[in-house]
Amino acid sequence: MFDLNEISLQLQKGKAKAVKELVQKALDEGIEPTRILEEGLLNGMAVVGEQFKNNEIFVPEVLIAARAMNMGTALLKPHLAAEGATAKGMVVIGTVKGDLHDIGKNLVKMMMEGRGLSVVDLGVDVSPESFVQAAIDNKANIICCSSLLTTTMHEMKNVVEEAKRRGIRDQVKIMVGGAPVTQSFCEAIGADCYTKDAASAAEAALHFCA
Amino acid sequence: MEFKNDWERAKERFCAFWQGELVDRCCFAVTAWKDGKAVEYPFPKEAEACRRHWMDEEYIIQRNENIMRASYYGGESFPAIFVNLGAAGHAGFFKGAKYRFTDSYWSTPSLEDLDALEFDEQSELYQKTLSLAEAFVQDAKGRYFVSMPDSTGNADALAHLYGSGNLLMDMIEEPQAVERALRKIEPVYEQTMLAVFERVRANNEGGGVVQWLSTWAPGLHAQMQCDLSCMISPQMFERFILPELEAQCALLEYPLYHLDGMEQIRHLDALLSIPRLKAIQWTQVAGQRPATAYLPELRRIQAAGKNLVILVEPEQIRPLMEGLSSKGLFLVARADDQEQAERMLRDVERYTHE
Repeated sequence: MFDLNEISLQLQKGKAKAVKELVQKALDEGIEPTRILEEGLLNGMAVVGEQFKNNEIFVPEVLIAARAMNMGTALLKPHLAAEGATAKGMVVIGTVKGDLHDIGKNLVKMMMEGRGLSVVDLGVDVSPESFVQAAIDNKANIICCSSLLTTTMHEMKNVVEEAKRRGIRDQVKIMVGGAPVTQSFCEAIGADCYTKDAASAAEAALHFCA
Repeated sequence: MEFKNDWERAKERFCAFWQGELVDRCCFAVTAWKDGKAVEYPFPKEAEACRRHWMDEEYIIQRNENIMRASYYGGESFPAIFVNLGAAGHAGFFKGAKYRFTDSYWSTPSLEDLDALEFDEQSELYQKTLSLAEAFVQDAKGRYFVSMPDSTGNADALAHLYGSGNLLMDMIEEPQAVERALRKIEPVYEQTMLAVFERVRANNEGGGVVQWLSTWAPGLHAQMQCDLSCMISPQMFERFILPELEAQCALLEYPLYHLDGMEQIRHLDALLSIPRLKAIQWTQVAGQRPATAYLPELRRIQAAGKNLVILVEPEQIRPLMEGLSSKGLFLVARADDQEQAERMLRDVERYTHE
């Protein structure tokens, strides 16, 4: 009997090759792709997220775990599509205009994918218009904005305003994060949610999509 | 020195600060606009104007001259120009580096193989660092000081070149390659610091200056940093970052570490273990709690015999000074106008204690 927990354990160690092999083996043994995803990959990423939140592990460990997860999900994707499985929600994410930092944004993306959400990554230096257009194009539940600089964080307010202007403000939640961002800033610009770390952002996003 | 008439007294206080001692009051630098009239140069939007803002000697000198003329330098604050080509800008000293200037220095990762890292002494940014220092000194002629460059943080520079994500993952998977690359950057840091110091020393009364921190020291003084360290474990910090800092502390006579954010507190023990480290500059990061919330950590720094530099808001002066020894403490502030600056100076005098 195949032990899906082994996928989770190898993912937690960031062993991409082992995860890929185990996912293939599980598929070969006829285990449903959604079970492999949920009990193997997402379970492993949930543990990683919790350890990261508790400062038991740090960014490098999360990055290699996420890479292992991506290797596993790449194998699973065609099977999940054939099974008719759908993501738990759709997020568009990016670093705001004028800001080229991407590590924080990437971590949030990885954690969200690790919770079964589909994430469209718009990259860095993303204009408010691009955020909102991508949200419309992808029928997103959430727009997620990252900023590391005090000089660029005001762009988040422009994203909120653009969402109002395009008439989708009541259809999307807007999440904000990054080193200088605070709960009071989030409230002041009229965004919906601020979280202080990537794992909490993924939890909040999942809650919004429930 | 032009723009400041009490430099000699300030110099005495700086010398005492670096010895962990006091002359008459806690070291305190406060800058304000004379008459409250700001002279501001917003970052331009156009690419060519941005390059001029960062790279054009004549323009930078004129801009700073106007700012210095309009400034009040209170306490230990003094006029200075910063040789500034971006934080960890020495990334641009390496072959194939891709960068651009906007309101900041942005580097696009261009290095695919850590072992391919190679210093380019003829690179635009290395040569510009030297020519800026020379041009500033030539203009200054002792009227103002010239700061050491912002080319600091070897791991940060490597992250610029190789990509932060790649570097962080390689710290787990290719640790020896990371160590080799960092060892290639350290001599470049040292060469840069020595070359700039040689050019600015006489102009700076024999001292080194970090302009944005308002620090002067009677010898080779520069800033060290590792912004990347907010993402790594203490074990990784000890393996990859500590050797760089120890080497830099061996080079610098007055080394100062720029501690940027609460995530770096977990590395404090490692930092305090460096015998030659003279000072830690505690940064109050936007969005994080103020320095007053970290008095236990600040006291630990002082108890370890390290000097402390803190950029403060006016209302933080009293609680910080009451909670910390004034010996080896240097507070740096910005005031709205000269009147407020003088009030803050009086507060510092009032709360000074051993």
